[in-house]
Amino acid sequence: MFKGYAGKILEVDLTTKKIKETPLDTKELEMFIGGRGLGVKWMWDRAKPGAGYLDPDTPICFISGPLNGLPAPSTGRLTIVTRSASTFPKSNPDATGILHSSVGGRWTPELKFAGYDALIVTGAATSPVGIVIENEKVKIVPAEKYWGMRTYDLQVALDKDLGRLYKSVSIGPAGENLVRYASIMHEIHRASGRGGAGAVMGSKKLKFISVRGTNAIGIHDKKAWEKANKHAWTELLSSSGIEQWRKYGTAMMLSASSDWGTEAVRNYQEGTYEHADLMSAETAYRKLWVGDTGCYMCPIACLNRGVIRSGRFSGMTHDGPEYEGAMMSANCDVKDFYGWIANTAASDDYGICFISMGNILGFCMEAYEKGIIKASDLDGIELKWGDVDAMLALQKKVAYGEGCGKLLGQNLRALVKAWGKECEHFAIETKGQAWAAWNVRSMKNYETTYMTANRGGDHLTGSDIGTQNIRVINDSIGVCLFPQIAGMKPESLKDLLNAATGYKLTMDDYKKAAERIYTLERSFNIANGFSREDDTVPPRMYKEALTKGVAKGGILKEDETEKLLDKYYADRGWDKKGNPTKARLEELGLNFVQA
Amino acid sequence: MFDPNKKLHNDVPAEETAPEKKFRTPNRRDFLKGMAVGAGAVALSPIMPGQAKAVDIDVFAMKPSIRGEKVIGGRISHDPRKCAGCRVCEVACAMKNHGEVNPFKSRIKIYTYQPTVFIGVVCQQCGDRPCIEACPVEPDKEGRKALFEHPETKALAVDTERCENCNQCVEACESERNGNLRLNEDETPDGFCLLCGDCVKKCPQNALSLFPRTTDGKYASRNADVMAKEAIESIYGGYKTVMDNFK
Repeated sequence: MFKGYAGKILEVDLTTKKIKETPLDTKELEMFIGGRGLGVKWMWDRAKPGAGYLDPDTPICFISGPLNGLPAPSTGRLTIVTRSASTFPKSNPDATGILHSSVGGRWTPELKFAGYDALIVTGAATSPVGIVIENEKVKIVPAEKYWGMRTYDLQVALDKDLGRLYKSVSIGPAGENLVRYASIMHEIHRASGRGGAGAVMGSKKLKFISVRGTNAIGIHDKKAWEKANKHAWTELLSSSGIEQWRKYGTAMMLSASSDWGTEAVRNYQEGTYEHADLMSAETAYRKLWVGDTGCYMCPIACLNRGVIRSGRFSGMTHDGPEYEGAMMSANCDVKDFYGWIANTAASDDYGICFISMGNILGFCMEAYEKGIIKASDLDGIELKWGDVDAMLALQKKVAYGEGCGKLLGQNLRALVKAWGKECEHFAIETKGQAWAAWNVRSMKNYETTYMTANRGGDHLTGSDIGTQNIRVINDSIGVCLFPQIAGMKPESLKDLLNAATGYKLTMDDYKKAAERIYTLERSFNIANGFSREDDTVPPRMYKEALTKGVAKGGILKEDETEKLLDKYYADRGWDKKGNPTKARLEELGLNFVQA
Repeated sequence: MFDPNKKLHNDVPAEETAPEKKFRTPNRRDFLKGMAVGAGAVALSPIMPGQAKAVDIDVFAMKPSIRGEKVIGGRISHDPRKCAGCRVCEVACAMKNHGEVNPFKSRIKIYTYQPTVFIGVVCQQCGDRPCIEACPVEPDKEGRKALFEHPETKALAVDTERCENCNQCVEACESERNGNLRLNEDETPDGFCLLCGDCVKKCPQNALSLFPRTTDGKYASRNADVMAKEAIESIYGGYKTVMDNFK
């Protein structure tokens, strides 16, 4: 077994309550490395094509990478791979696509210290359960008393019952009520939000997974590790970007993105927000933040913790704004700073992905403004632009599945179906997945990302093939992408990986592994009914130009986009329909995939 | 139903893989060698070869405080306002003192409290040393029990060879101070701090500092729960949980 890995997979079947350990397959490791890569391979092997995310046989995999837990920068990243609750092909609304969703924190290192590289949960329990792991002692425990608890209360209760040394991932009420964009929460503020992994966990009646470990993780070549590690830390800490990252986190983009015209404003009507100065990191720095919170081994600590000191929401603790919080400010035309913070904090507490929630709220606000829906459609809530109280009320309905919340908790396509074709024009989604807060009309190259990303309209996949490959590897070896955005080189990570595991990878192998993983994800989606027809951008991007700011006049052209898509497929080695070619699959060693 | 109401500290699981016992300096042989070779002040340094070498921040070079208090060694202090909970210090400590990537073995521990506050727990080198007082081992001719104050660094040190594994020092620390002292797998006390300063050097948030000890350290070595309550009150002042606002 390679060093760096713990060497075992923990498999828990909640239907039969059976727990077993299986060793990692070294051949698989060399091909797929870990994390996102191993996850997609396991999904390919285990998930029936054409099944839905609510199928009890659908596995949900919590996977670490070889660098998780080791003292390199930002090695606390957990990747969750399962079926997405948000993406589904036009041809078959019952099948769903692949989901890889990652979250920082301190959970994955703890799983590796307990002696496992991954946890695969299958089956579904009949009553609420939790999983408690302490080294090789694994228990499935009843969780009736925790069922229904929101994230904060649950964390406090688990701290009290289990002790502070356990780290937990959990779902909130939204996950329990199978909201299709429910997130898996970790340590109150951290969310694995995109794609609705919380709904998969909720369908299995699994409330929380707590883990604690006391074993060591091995390093293959300590001398080479020391050298590579020192280099990586120096590179990161001396990079020019790090001070900004430490001070503001991703929130620093809030005003910058508005300046560039790339923000999502009023349901993507505009790219520049006139109140960006108010809803910015500077405001938060002055008014809210009390300190930083970092993930395991992270010097950046991009998450800020804060407290609202005045106004209606005074006394409320929260994790402060981050860039994607713009989905609940600019995208909903919110001008009330504290109201915005209250909304994002409520999302975390209910266990809802606030990117999708903000997108859907913005969509509803526009539909309400245009008179397509009335207050009676929303249980009497008058949803005007920027009404934070209406947003809070709707979020509660979504989380608990009350009244109109049942419909809003589905996705944009369900809303279009319910409210009529005229809404389709401004439903901002790809493959069913609501877009994040980057507006592509002013961001050239990003349209192909939103169109082709394997988990639907996604901002984290990367703007071009090179970046996408780096991000795939990041997710696979278990490190965060922010150190690299701040200034660390991928070469440093490669050296760390080689020193820790004993691989002898070159940058070419590194790239090839990424291509292999990305292509297998695509193949998984194609086996589940996705095709080129699903690689689209919403009609608004072709029909309405931006009217304000530096990006004024920005618009996508259909023929240009199609050409870009053709080029993207060709660069990836896929055919015109977006299917990986047989030659390409063989070149990547994916012979088990039928072209 | 599981019953995990365990103590905060010291809960070493019963069946744990046996570790290699190679990082426990000093041992009897070193001790005797030291006795044979040197005398007087010179004898002190070979007693604790591993520990003495670990000290690379010279606490004695520090000046007495401006108020003229007497400096007795050093102490590591943790600032919950700066700490981001990244556990770099834990891994640094485990790497330096146990040679493995395993924060469980670290002698500094970071606990997370809600609303999010991180409390660092590390041996505060208390002036009155309740752990040494509790040690039942007969003092040798230098007046040292199995637990003693290192003559050079003024840090707590353990002679594992003479330790009787009675757990009394751990209990004293648990009941009177922050409870960082715990039993190792070989049932000798662990969790004492050598003042090697590796955690301080590696902390990316500058939340840790090593500074001259002028007080008895009773205040800084209170239980983590108490410190957390105080830190939360001072940082978040009159907070509510998220949903208190929406009721």
